Amino acid sequence: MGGVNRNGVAERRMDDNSNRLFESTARWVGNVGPANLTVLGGYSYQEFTWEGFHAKGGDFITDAFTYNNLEASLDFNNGIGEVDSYKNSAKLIAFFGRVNLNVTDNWFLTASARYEGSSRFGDENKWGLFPAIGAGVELANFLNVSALDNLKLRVSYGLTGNQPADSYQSILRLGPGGNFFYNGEFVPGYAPVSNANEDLGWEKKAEIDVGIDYSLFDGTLFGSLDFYTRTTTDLLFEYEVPVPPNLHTTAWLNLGEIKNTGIELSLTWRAVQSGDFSYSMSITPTYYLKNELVSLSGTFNGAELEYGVRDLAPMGAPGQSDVPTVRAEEGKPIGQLWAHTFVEIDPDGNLILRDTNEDGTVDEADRSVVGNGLPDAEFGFTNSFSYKNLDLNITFRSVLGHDLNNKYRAFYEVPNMIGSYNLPVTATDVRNENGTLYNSSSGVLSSYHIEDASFLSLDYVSLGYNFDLPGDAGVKNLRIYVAGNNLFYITGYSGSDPNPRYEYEDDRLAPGQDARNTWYRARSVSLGVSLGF
Amino acid sequence: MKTIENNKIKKSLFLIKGIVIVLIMAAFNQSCTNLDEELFSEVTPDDFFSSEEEYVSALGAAYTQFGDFASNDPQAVQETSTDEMVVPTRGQDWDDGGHWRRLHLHSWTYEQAHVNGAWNFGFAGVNTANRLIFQFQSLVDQGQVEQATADAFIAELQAVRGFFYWQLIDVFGNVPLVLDFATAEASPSTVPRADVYAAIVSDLESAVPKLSDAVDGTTYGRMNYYAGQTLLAKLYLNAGVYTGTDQWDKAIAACNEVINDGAYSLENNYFSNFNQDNSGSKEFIFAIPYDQVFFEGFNIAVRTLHYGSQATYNLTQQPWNGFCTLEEFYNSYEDTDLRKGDVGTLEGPAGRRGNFIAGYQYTSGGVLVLDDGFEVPNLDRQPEPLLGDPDEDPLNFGNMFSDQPQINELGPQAYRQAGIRIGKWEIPIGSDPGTMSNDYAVFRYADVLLMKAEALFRKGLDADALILVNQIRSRAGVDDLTTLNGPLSFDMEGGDVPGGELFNEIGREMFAENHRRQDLIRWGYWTDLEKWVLPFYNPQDKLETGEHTSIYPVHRDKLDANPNLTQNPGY
Repeated sequence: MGGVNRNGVAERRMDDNSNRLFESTARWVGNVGPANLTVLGGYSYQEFTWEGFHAKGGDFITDAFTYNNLEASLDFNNGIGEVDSYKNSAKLIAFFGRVNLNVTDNWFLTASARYEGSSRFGDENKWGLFPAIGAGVELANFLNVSALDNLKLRVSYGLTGNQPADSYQSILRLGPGGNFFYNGEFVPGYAPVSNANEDLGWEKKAEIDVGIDYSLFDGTLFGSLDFYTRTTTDLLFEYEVPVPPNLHTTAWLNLGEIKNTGIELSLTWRAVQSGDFSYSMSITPTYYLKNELVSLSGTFNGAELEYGVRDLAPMGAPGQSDVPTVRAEEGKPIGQLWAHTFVEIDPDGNLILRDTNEDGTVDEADRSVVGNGLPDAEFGFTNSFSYKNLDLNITFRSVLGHDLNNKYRAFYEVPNMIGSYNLPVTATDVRNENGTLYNSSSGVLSSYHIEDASFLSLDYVSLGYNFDLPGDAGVKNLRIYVAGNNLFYITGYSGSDPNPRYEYEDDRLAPGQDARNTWYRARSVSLGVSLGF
Repeated sequence: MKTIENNKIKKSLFLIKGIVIVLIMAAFNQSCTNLDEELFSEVTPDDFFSSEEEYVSALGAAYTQFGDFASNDPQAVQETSTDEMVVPTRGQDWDDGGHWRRLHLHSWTYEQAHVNGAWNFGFAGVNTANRLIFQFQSLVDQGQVEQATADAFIAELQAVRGFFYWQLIDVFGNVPLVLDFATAEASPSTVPRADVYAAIVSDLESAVPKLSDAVDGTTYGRMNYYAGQTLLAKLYLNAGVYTGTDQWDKAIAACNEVINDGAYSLENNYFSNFNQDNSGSKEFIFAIPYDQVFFEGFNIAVRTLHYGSQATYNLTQQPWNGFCTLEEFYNSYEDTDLRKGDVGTLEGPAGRRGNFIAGYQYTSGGVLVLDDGFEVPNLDRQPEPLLGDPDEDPLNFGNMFSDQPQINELGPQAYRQAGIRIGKWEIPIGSDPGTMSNDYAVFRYADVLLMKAEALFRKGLDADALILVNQIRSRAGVDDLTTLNGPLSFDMEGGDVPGGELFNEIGREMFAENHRRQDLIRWGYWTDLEKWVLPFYNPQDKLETGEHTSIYPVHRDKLDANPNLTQNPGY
């Protein structure tokens, strides 16, 4: 807030975050028969603290002090100055070990385990065991095909853990929560600040990966191909719990399961290697086969919670409070964009939305899936040229198949607000084929504002020159270059940034939201000199 | 490949590192596997409840739950669904997925957000009271507190719990009944309205006699004996709605407990109850002691005033231009009624303050406020043309001095200046309309008089009832009534109705005090909303006149979180 009407406002804030880490590892390397063995063990102790102090006051006689004499703010005399301080902490402790086995460079085996504890969980669930195992075989050594340099087949399984963003969710805490008028004066009322979840435990992600690494024709063609499937269980989310008996409406819970599968390919081709000129290209496509919300069910203090459906990420003010934008639903893909379906602007300029359930009225029950917030595929495409001392790199990037909720349009394509503020130029496109303009001042989210945001971008281009230097020069190498980042996008998306949004306010179940205040991504061109000594 | 020597070196390094680990862990002064959480900015219950000051502070948690009553979701469900208050869709504001229009049209669904908020309001109060009753009883069991001391706190908490349960059965009808913190089920089932009523009334009947009968600073803002009796009177008065069996005699008896002791009386000036400095009004039986700093939550000013009203009151934030009253309701006050207030004209601002802010608006410097947003006229619009609200027009609440209606429509395009605003609670110059310091009477002596009058009328004792009603009217500066019968404020053409003037008087006196929905339901007018509904042109909007709307649905979030809850009939 500014200092208008308040005789100026001054504010100072001090935040101090510290992170102390102690880690110790021991390694043993040796041979057992034909096998080369590496054994590693270790211990890690990490302690975090966050603390801060803040003071803010308005109503100054003079502006001369700025923030250097906060007690001169009359707000403090009037009891409306703000002062606050806080301190939180967390600890992570882990014991870990790893064994690598390499038999004659043909067979590989890796096994590891991490026994990790976090202070943020309930007493019985602080510790989690996270094992991983991987095996590989170098098939090229058995196949004896001359064109084949490498062909390594890999299979691995691993389990990893995730902890909540905030401390203390498992213990019942009291804090001042509003005041109480007692005998003619206000005294603070102390009450639980959240529902404690004594059973809070690790979120666990199990990943199975099957892949090959390959290299052909003396390294002319190489890369990898991977198929992965990740299953995340006991998801950490803040959800509604039964009221009564709980004091607060939400708690941090381990609830639900997500499954992701995909295929990742990497291919590099050294196409031309002749004399002064070389050219190589690489492509790295990824296909997301499945992003499924398998389950949204769990328990809390003995209560069975079965959320078949959650509507998330409300639009907000002005005029669209309590209008959800994403539906999370068991058994369905993550990122279902959820809104009314736009039908037309009627001859009177009214917005007509689809009566999906044909009950004669349009209400919440008529919303449906109008898009998909997560991409289907993405790829990078890199080209590297060099001629004598010149080199040129061009990288394209593309993300395909995701939609975005263009909130800027959904709020401001309202022609009748022309009297109040500048409208987007597209506001005058909201009309029917007879030219009747949308006749309203209200923004109403519908499928009209959900856009395919697939794009191809020129992500990076650099052109450089390496100088030949005499061997006795003090400088070993000297290069000058010009490079550009984020040079252009080819997309049908009308907003400022078509990149996927994977989260909404830290909620992984609510992707696809392009906020009203999204800035254009900076385009940069740099000119540089690099020296090596 | 490593050599044997290397391995020996590694092994000895391993030993050295082991020693170093021990030394460094000693330096951390912590067990190397201790993961207990350390609290700095909060306390656990084990470290609390050790002094008288802390007990009082714990008790305070029960009263902070009242904070949302005056202006938040309780107001949305109790007021904006009635014939005295509405939130039209104005400009870009207040569409909100159609929720506000659905409150006016009674066509809400189980996804209506206000319904979730009203449930949370009620059960936060119930659960907090349950928790504190358990904690005080535990302190007695541990020998830390005398039984007598704890009993006083516990009776007061029972009364607090009774208030929240009254709101819950009033709004939702059938709700889970949880009266014990320690044995509460994880997913409690829905209990029929009449059974919850019986349990709460019985609980209150035993607790209220134990409450303090002091009427002074020690009980201001708390549940004393008279607040407990008023709460019982509310339950008895609506018993016919809640259980099917009227309790008029019990209602009269409870009102008499408040009236006959003479501890309260009507203020000479109606607005002494609504001024910013209204603390300690002789009329307040139970009040929420809102304060700009110490007890936030009362913000009717920011909800009702126009954006341009900021200049009228030099407000520290711009108002939201939402809530207003309906024309027929405004017209139910005689012009001489001191509660009505004056109308601003082109000659100058309104003189006397009233329940309403009407007509032309002026800046604090005495200049007409101009409405700098405008609606584009659309004379071809069907079914009604939109005349438009011109740019730079002087702000005129309710379109006074014209032949146009005060509110042109519910939506999609109510004029931004449409509707007469709510000025019942004083809005001081230079104040923050988002956190008002006026205390808010939950139970007021005038209300007790009107409750008794209604119960007498129901028993056919009109003459006795008239005496009480005329006390209220006399303070408002209007002539005595000679009959309680008359046409209803929302249906003046409908002819005289038994008790019609009593119904109207309750509305005029208790306007905007979360009263009207109960009155409409108890008097049987709830489903007559076609008689007061505003024109509505959003193609998707519809009117719902079914009986089931007299209780709200259980919100979907609540049903999802607890499979043992039953949805109310008709939803």
